[in-house]
Amino acid sequence: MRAPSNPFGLASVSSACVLALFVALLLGNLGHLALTGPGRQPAGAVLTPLALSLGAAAAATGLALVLGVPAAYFLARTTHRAASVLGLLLDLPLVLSPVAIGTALLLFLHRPPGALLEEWVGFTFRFPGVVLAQFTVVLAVVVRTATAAFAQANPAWERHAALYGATRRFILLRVTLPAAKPGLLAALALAFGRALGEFGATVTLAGTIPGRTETVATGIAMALASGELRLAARLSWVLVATAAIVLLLLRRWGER
Amino acid sequence: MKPLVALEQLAVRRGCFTLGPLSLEVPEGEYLVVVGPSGAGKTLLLESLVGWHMALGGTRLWRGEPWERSFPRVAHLSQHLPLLPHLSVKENLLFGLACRQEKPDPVLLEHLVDILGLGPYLSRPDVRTLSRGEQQRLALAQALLTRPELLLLDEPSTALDPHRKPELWRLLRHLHRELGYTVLHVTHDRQEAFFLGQRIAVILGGKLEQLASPGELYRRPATAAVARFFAPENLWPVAGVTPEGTRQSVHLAEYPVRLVVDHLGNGDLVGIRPEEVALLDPHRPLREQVQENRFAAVVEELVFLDGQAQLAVRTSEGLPVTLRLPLCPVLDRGLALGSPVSICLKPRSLYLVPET
Repeated sequence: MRAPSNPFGLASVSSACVLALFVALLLGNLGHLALTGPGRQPAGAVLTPLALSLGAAAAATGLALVLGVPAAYFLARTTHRAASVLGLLLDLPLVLSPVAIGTALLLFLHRPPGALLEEWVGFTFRFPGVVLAQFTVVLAVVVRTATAAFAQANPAWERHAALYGATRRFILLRVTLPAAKPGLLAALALAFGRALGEFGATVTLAGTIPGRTETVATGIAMALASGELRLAARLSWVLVATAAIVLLLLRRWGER
Repeated sequence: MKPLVALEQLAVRRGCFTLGPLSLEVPEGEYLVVVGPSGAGKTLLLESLVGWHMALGGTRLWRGEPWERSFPRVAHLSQHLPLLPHLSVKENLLFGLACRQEKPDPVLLEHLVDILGLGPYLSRPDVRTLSRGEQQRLALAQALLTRPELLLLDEPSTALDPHRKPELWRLLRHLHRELGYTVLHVTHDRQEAFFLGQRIAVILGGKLEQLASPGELYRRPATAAVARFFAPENLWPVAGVTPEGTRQSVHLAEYPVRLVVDHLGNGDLVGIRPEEVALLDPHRPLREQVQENRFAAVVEELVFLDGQAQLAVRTSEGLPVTLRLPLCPVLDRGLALGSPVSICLKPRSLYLVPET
């Protein structure tokens, strides 16, 4: 008898179909509510939080990548025992509730050295607060995913390039980053998606002030709280569509 | 003239394994092969030479200057080929030059592509579609395009089929002669070492046991460990050595046998390579070199190898001897288990080695 190549058998295809159907039903119901019926909101009610969401998510993701990717490289390459403690610390935000992260940020910004930062930049109930909250939540996602990406890339490639006489910059741009590109793109996509949908930490640190700190995710909660179910559905669909477009673009980039 | 590369008392530790301390000099233009069994520290030696491992002690010199200050032109072809999966075949070919920010020499490029047979693959966008042998040749071309002064080769033929290995060996020898670079090549393959090495360094358990020309290594292994690595058969403990003019008479410890040995010196063991044991033809007059150390024996084991036959015989004194012979005399004489034979342990082929 031929050995089965798929150890899950029919369970794998059927679970994929059932899960896809589940997500489609969720989105379908939201879409039905968003697209039908009267009650058109002013464009600003959707576009302002969308612009704020995109800006904050892009800034938080960019910051998390700039700071998290070198750290991830260190964690992937080092064999020192102390590095596992560092890795654990950087992983912790993954398991913390976003509201707890927001609370921790609030406390941090009210005592030195955080208070100095607060005085200098001003985070609480301001746009930088949205970015900081999202950055703190997605940093662990970036570090974890990028560490796995660098661990997959053979360090011998870098050593050979250095032996040929390549500069540090050449090795970074032509060897290290391209070799880990699929994993780094996954980190970017996951972080951006997570930042775009971030609610708990954002609302705790920056609140949800329309036009200043209200993102699509916090706007949905506000719309629900004020009984505007259709607006909540429309904002949800905007979030889904934006995330889908960004993920598709990243996938195309990754395939190139 | 200072050697291109010199290692002085280099010692490196990796886990519980220690390499060295060992000293080694590689003159410019030489093809030096380091041979040893798996786990002997060969790869560690190459990687330590280029500074990939922290040394416990010792120095690395490039033309007499500290390695770190010399910026040597070195290319390293590791066992796990350093081809980058995100680059195309052509980009990989030129990668070494790109690292140096140099343009390819069009004549050398064309020559290498031609001689290494890379032409049909150059347009492939994915280097992973090449077979292991093709990747091997591509990595070699990548390294040679940078015109290295020192080429480090780590088990370059390991992944090749046995019948393809001599092809690569010939190519390596040809390119070395043509381009004149220095090679430090490590391998566990004894045939490869003899085929390519102008000198061969034997490394066992992290220690350099012998550094000699292939001929000397074949005729005069320096220690019992080296002798066992190349030919574990035909090594017998010695009871005593008596000088006999320009030769020696060696008494074996475990058998009532006296052997005449041309090799002067002392040793705990006396040995002979299985290829050097002569199978005497009873119908032919004996040549001068097989007049002594002749024994009547019986065939106890007969194994047909690829183009060779390996015979295990036992002499009437009980001495077990292994012979490796071309197949035709074995077939012509119809040898089988139990066949009586006459053998000779040629005095000039016997060597004495210390146990340690």
